Formats: sequence, C-alpha cells, structure tokens
Amino acid sequence: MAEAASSTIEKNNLTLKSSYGDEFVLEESIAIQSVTIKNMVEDGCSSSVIPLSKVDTGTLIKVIEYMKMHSSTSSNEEEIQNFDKEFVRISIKTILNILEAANFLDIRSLLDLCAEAVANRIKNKTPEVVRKIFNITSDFTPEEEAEIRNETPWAFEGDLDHSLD
Amino acid sequence: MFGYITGDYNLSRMTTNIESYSQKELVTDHVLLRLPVKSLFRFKCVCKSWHDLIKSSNFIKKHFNSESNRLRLMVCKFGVNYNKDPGCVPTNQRIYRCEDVGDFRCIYGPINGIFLLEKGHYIDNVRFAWWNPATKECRLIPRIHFEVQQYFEDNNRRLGIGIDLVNQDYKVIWHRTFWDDMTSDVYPKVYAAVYSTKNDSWKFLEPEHTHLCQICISQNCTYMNGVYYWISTSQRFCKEDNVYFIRTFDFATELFGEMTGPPIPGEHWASLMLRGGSLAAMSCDDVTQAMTANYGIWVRIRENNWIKAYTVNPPIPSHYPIGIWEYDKFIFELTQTCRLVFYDQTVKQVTSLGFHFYDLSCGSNWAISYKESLVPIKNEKPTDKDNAEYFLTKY
Repeated sequence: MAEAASSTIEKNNLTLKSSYGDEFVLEESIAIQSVTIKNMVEDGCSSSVIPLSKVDTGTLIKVIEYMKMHSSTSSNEEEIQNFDKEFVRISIKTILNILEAANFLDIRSLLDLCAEAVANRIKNKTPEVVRKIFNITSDFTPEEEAEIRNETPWAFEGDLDHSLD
Repeated sequence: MFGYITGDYNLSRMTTNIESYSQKELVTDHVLLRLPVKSLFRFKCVCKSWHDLIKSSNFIKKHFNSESNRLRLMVCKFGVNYNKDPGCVPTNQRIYRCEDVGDFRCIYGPINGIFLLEKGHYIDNVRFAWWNPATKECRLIPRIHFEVQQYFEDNNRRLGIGIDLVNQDYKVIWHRTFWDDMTSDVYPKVYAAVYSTKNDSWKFLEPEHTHLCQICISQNCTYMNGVYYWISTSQRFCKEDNVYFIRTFDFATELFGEMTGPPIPGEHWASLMLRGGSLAAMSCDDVTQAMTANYGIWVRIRENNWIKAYTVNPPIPSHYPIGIWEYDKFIFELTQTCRLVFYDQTVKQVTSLGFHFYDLSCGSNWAISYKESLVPIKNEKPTDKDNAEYFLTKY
C-alpha cells in the first residue's frame, strides 16, 4: 500500500484554481513546497482541483514561477539568487499580494523573500509615503506627530525617498 | 473529504473585508522587523499602532533577533588626530565621530546593542555612561568614590557589564585592587562595586576572594546568561597548580564565583572571549612576536572541560590581538603601522580591515561584533546632558 501511494505522489499533477477561476496544472512535487497544499495532499484532497480563493491569477502565476524555479534540480545556488533578485523587481503592491499568498500557502522562503524586499523598498521612505503605500490613515494630531518627530530629528534627516513605489 | 478546503473557501468569501486587514498584519509581523533602527524611528509617526508596536518590548526583542539584523564588525578608535583626516576607507560606514574628546578610556559591550563608555585615567575621576549608537540614546551614570588612600595607585581594575535577569536590570560590576606605595606591594583587599540602572545607584560589595589574583582583560564582552566571566591568574595556587582559572560575577545574586579554566600556564598571556556565543580562550607564550607568535585557542566543551581546539600562527609583523570576528577570524593591530588586519584561520589568510590609524598612534582600539538594537536606555527624565557628545567632551 505504502509503495503504491508513494509512486502516485511522484506522478501526480495538481490543479490550482485562482480566485478568478483560472486553473493551473502543476506537478505535485513542485506544489508541495506550499505546506498548505502539502497538508491537503496528505489529507487525501489532491485528486481534485484546489481552489485558492485568496490568490488572484497574476499572483498565482508568480507563485508558480517561484515554486518551479526553487524545485528545479538543474539550477545552481547563484542562478536561484539571481532569480530571486529579479523576481522582486515589481511594484510593492504586487510584492504585497505575493507576500499574502505566501503566508496563506505557507511557503516560508517566499514569505521571507517578499518581506525582505518590501523592507528594502520602504526603508528610506518618508512616513507620508509609507502611509499611502499601506493605506494607513494617521490617527495622530499634528501636535502629537510633531512631538514624535522632535524626539529623534536625526531619523528624518538624510536622503529620503519620496516615491510611491 | 474536501471539508478543509471548502471551509476555508467559504470563510474567505464571507470575510473579504478582513483581507486588507491581514495584509496590514503581515506588514507589521514580517516587514517592520526587518527594518533598520533609523527607519523604525521615522515610522513611529505613521500611526498609533505602529508607534506602540515599535516601542513594545516584544517587538524590540524580535527585531534584535531578526535574521535581517546582521552582525557587523565595528571598530572603535580613540586617539589624538593631528591630521584631521581619519583615513577610513569608503567601504567602512562611520556611525559616530566625536571631536575634542578629552580622556576616553574604554568601551565595553555590547549587550543587546548597548555599550558602556568609560572616561578618566586617574583613581578617582572615572565617569561612565550607557550608550546605544543605533538610537543615539545615552545615559550618564552617577560617579562613585572608593575610599582609598592617597598613596594608592591602580593595580588591577576590570569592569563587566550584564543583565540581572531576575529584575531585568542592566548592571555594571567594577573590580579593583590597588598598589600601595608605602609598602610597595598590592594592598590586601579587593574593592568592588555594582551599579544598578533601575536604582540608578552604586553599591559597594565585600568580595571574599584574594587580592593576589589578577583578572585579565577579555577580547570581547564575556557576558553570558546573567553572568560575567573573566580569566584570572591563580597566584594563590602558584606553588601547586599555576594555571589560569575563571572568575565569575552573577548579576542577579551580586556574588563572585570561580570555576575551572583552560590549563594555560600562569606565566603565559591569556585572554577570554565569546566565540559564537560560547566561552573560549586565547593563550600565547610570547605575545606580539613577529611571524612566530603561536596562539592557542581553547574552547569549553562542558561545564569544567576545556580543550585546545587549534593553534593560530598569523604570518604578520609585531602585533597585538584585539578581537575576534565570526568563529575563526582573529583581529590584530600591527604595532609598527597601526593597521588593523584579521587572520582567517580557515583559509589561512591575512586581510586588511582598511583602517590605518598611523596618525592616531596605536592602542585604544576595539574590534567589536555589533548588532543594532531598539533597547531603550534613557533616563525617565533625561536632561540635555544625557547625550554621547556631552559625555565624551564635557562630562
């Protein structure tokens, strides 16, 4: 029995369905980099379409691209590093969508990559721009905000990045 | 069979408005932790929840331990600069520079990104301050006066910093013995005092151990889990077993203790260090010797068991060991040229750190493994004087 099960795992393909209803066929061995999918497979849910209601088509395409590269045995460490670097050269909004999908699908390395990329992109930005990027409304009064700025004026000095992306 | 998936599917359908909330949570849980201290201080004014998060002790702890918060090699140099050009190479980022520093003596640490600065070269003019270079916070420590005779000189003075883990209190332990000019001998008493940041006061201790043991300066901050460790000569036992031992100080109980050290002969040079988070020691029978100096590297494998891991023989001119970087990179100051180099034991290679302190002359040089931290050290009511510049130039 165990033998039969393992040989089917090797051959099996899975179908992932995005929130828009688009379906993607993927080898199971690649898809199980997602702990969420792996758990579904182990629970015996792999024979049908896996609906990913939280992941839109564009994001799912990127996630699959990432999983394919990271399960490929032919690429070396340097190629993967370069791939990762290129992979996050996209808008912050898109990285955030992938970050969310990586969290939902439980792909730790992709979550780390996206979180690190967002941190790198925002680290020199102004608080105003950061609020816009993350859709945050300030709940400080102007006086309160001025007080915080006055506590550490050096944190607001230097070459700050005013761009939204 | 598909209960799990279907359940999740429905849940997300029902709660679409939660999606953007969860993206915000992902940002606070995963992105903010990876930012440098300067960015976080700027983003405190984004909104109240970010402000409170960045100030919370849980976040401060997670941020310090985050993988993105890399360990960096930091070099601290004090010297008289005649040329006004410090000669740092561009790859080195200067995090702090202060002119007109009078009598800087030492920098201790870091512990959780916090250093202790020391000024003063006479018996009774010593001043201390806590300093967090990332947050730029500085906190002056009140002075302390040991009751000593006029004809005393410093004989053996060592400081240690650490955390009293019971009270979460940053403390300083100061251990001194004095040379008595009247008797031309070490005065037979060990003086010690401990400073508690919580109480903002010093307390004198009455150590019971002998004044004859000389505590040696460590290569880096040899504090671990609530205890400070020094390597010490063992003059008390010199007739039978003249090897070094370890002197300890427990910051919670405020008691000194001792334990077995590496079996380094008492007449050799020895220095304790933390190597990848564990106690290790460095020994040499003829330190500074050009090309031929052999350093024994000792590691503690169990409570009282030390073994010599290997011997380091750097092919460099006259030098002095000043620190360790990562596991196997030993940092030396070349005494002729005042350059800093490290010798990588693994690849057996000497690399220059790019610092040339010829104009500043040798010594007063610290090579420190440093990580940024948000840990606050400020007084509850800080004054204008609680800043590093004031401490270094005026205090």
